Amino acid sequence: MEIYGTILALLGAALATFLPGMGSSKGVGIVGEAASGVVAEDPSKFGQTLLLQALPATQGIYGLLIGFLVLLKVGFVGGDAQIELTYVNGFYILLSCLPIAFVGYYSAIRQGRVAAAGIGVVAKRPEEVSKAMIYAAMVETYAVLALLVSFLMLNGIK
Amino acid sequence: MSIVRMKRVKLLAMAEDREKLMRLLGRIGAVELSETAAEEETSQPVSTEADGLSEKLSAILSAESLARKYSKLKKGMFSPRVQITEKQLFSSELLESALSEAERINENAAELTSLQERRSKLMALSETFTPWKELELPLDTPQGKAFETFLCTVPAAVELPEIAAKAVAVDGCAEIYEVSADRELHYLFCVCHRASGEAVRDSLKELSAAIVRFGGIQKTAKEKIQEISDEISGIEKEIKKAEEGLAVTPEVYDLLLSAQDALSTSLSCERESEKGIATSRAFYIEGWFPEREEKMLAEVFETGKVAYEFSDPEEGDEPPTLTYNSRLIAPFEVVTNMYSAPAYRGIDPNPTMAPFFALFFGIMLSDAGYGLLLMLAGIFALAKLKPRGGFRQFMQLAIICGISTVIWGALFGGFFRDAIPSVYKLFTGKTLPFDLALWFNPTEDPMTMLIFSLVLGGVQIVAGMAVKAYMMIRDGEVWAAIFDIGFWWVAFAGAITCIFNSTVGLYILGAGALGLILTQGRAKKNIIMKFFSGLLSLYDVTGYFSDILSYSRLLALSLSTAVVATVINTMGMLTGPIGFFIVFLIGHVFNIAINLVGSFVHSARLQYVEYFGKFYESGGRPFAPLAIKTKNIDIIKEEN
Repeated sequence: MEIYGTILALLGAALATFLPGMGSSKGVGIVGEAASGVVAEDPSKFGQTLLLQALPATQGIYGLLIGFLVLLKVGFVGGDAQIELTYVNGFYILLSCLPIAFVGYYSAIRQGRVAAAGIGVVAKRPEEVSKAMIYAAMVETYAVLALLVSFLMLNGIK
Repeated sequence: MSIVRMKRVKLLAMAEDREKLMRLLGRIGAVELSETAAEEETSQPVSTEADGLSEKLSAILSAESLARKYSKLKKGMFSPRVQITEKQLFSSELLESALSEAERINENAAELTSLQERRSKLMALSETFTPWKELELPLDTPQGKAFETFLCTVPAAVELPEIAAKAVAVDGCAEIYEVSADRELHYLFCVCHRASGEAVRDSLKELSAAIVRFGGIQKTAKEKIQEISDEISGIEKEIKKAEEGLAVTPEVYDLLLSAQDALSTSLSCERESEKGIATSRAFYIEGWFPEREEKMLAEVFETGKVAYEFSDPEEGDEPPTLTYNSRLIAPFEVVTNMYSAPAYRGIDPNPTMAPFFALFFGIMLSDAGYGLLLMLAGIFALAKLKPRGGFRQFMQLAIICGISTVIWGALFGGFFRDAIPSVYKLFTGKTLPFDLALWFNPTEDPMTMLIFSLVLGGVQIVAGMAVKAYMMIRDGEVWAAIFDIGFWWVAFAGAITCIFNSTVGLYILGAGALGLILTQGRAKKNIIMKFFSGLLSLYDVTGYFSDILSYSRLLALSLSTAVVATVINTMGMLTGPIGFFIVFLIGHVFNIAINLVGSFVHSARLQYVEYFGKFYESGGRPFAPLAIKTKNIDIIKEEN
C-alpha cells in the first residue's frame, strides 16, 4: 500500500507545481509581450513594466511552495518522511494540493491579463502605475486564499 | 497632523514687474497659481517669452548631451551637485556664456555631421574604383586610330573563355583581360578594332555585360584610390578636431547644467504666469497658499511692488490639498497619494494608516535579514543620492518598513529564514541548540499566525470605523455615529464575548443587531420599509467578514517568503559550502525582489480596500506650488 501513498502524494506535488507554473508562465508571458511594445517606444519605462510583469509570477511560487512542502513531508528532501505514507494519507496530500493547483493556474492567467492591460496605463500615465498594480493584486487575492487552504490542509495531515 | 487650511491670494502688479513677481513666488514656493478667468473685455491673456525660452532651452539641452558624449567627465550618480547662489544662477552673464558655449558646441556638431557625411560619400566612391586597382592604365582608357579599348563587367556566372569566345566571334582580334573578379562579377578590360567596337559591345551585352565608363579620369584606379584615401585622412583629422571641439571642461559642463536649470525654471515661471490675465500696463493672478504662510507672504509682498489680497475659500471653491505630518508619518503620504490625495474638506488618513502599513509590510516580509538589507539600501540611497521629492519619501518609507521587517523577523525567528541553523549544521553537523524566534515560528504554528492575522485585521477595521465615527461627530451627526458605528461595535463585542461565554455573548450580539434593525432604515418613510431596510442592513456582516478574512494574506505572504527562503537554504545545503554560498546569494536576491513587490502591493491593498473603504474621502488635488525646482544643481543661500 505504501507505494500508492507515495504515488498519490507525488502526484499532488507535481500538480501543485506544474499547473500554477504553467499559469504563471502564461501570465508573465502576456505581460512581457505587451511591455515590449511600450519599451520599444520608451526604454526608460523598463522598470515599471518589469514590476507589472513580476506580479503574475507569484502563483508559480505558491505552487512551488506547496510542492516543496509535500516533498518535505514525504521525505524526498531534507530527511525522513514526517508522516506514515498510507494510501489514505497520500490521498489527503493529493487533495490538499488541488486548491493552489487550480486556482493558481487560473488566477495567474487572469492576473496576467489585468497586468497586461496595466501596461497601457504605464504607456499613457506612468505616474499611475501603482493603480494598475493594485488592480492586478486584486486578482491575486484568490491565489493567496487557495495557498492558505492548501497549506492548512497539508499542515493538518498527521 | 492634518490637512492644511488654504487661503486664496489675489495679486496685482505692474506688467513690467511680472517676471520679478513670478521669480519671487517661485523662490517662496508656497503659492499654487490657478487659472484666472478674464472677466472684462479690457483684459487679455499674458504674452510671455515662453517660446523664446524653450528654444534656448532646447539648444542648451542638445549641447549638454553632446558635451556629455564627447568629453571624458567623471560624473556618476554619486558626484556632488553644483552649488550656486540664486543670483548667479539667473544672472544674464551665466546665461549668455552658456548660450555661446552651446552655440559653439552645436555648430561644431553640425560641422561634424557634414564632415562625416563627406567621409562616407568618399568611401563609397573609393569602393567603385577598388575592382580596377590592378589595371595599370588610366581609367578613361586610351583609344587609338585603329583600335579602341573599354571596360566592362560580366556576371560571375559566365565563364571567362565563353566571354572571350563571344568577343572573338565578332572581331577576330578582340582581346579580353580579366582585371579582377569577385563573387558577383568579372571586371574586364577589352581591346578590339575601332570598326567593330560597337558590335563587340553589343554581343557582350547578350551575356548581360555592363559597360563601365570613367569619363575624363586620366589617372589609374590605384592613384585615384590613393587620392581619395588622402582626402579621407584629411577629413578624419578635421573630424577629430571637431570632436575635440565638442569636448568641454567640467566647468563648462557645469555651466551648461546650471543654465539648463535656470532656463527650465524661468520657462515654468513663464508658463505659469500665462494663467493670469493682463492689460497693457498691469498683471493680475490668483492662487492658493497654506494659511500658516500668511504672515510670511504678507511681509514679502509688503516689500515688493505688488498689491495683494488674502481671503478664505468660499463655498464651491476647490482648494488643493496639502497634508502636514510629522517626519515619521510623512513618508507614508506616498502610499496615500498613489490612491488619491484626500479631499480638501475630508480627513488626512496618513497618521492612522501609517502604523498599520508598516506593521503589515513587516509581517509579510517577516525576515530580519531582508529587513536589514532594505533598511541599509534606504539609508545608503538617502546619504549618497540625496534625493528629493517623492523618491526621497520612498527611501524613508523603505527605512521605516525595513525596521518593522527586522522586528517581525526577530519575533518569527527568520534571518534569511533558517540560514543560521543551516550554516551551523553545515559546519558542525549538529542542529542549533536553541530556537531563534522570540515569539513563535509561523511555518510551524500556522494556526496561531492565522488567528493573529485576523485579529490584526479586526483591529484595523474597527480603527477605520472609529475614524468614520470621528468624522460624523465632527460634522455634528452624533446619533448617526452611534447608530451606524456604535451598534456594529456592540454586535462585534457580542461576537467576541461568545468565544468566552456564549449566553452573555449572544445577548450582546442580539442587542447590537436589534439596534441596527431599528435604526438602519431611518431614511425610509414607510414603517415597513424602515423595518426591512433595517433587517437588510445586517447583511453588511458579510462585508465585515470578508474584510477580516482578507487579512489572512498576512499569513500567506509571510509563509511564501519563509518557505521559499527555506527552499533556497535547503538546496544550498545539498550542494556543500561553496555551492551554498552561490545558491544563497542568487536565491535570496530573487526572493527579496519578488516579496518586496508582493509585500508592498498587498499592504497597500489592505489600506486601500479594507481600511480606506470605511471612511476615506478621496478626490483631492495635491497642492502643487510654483517653486524653483532644479534638477542638476543646488541653490545655496546668498552670502551677505
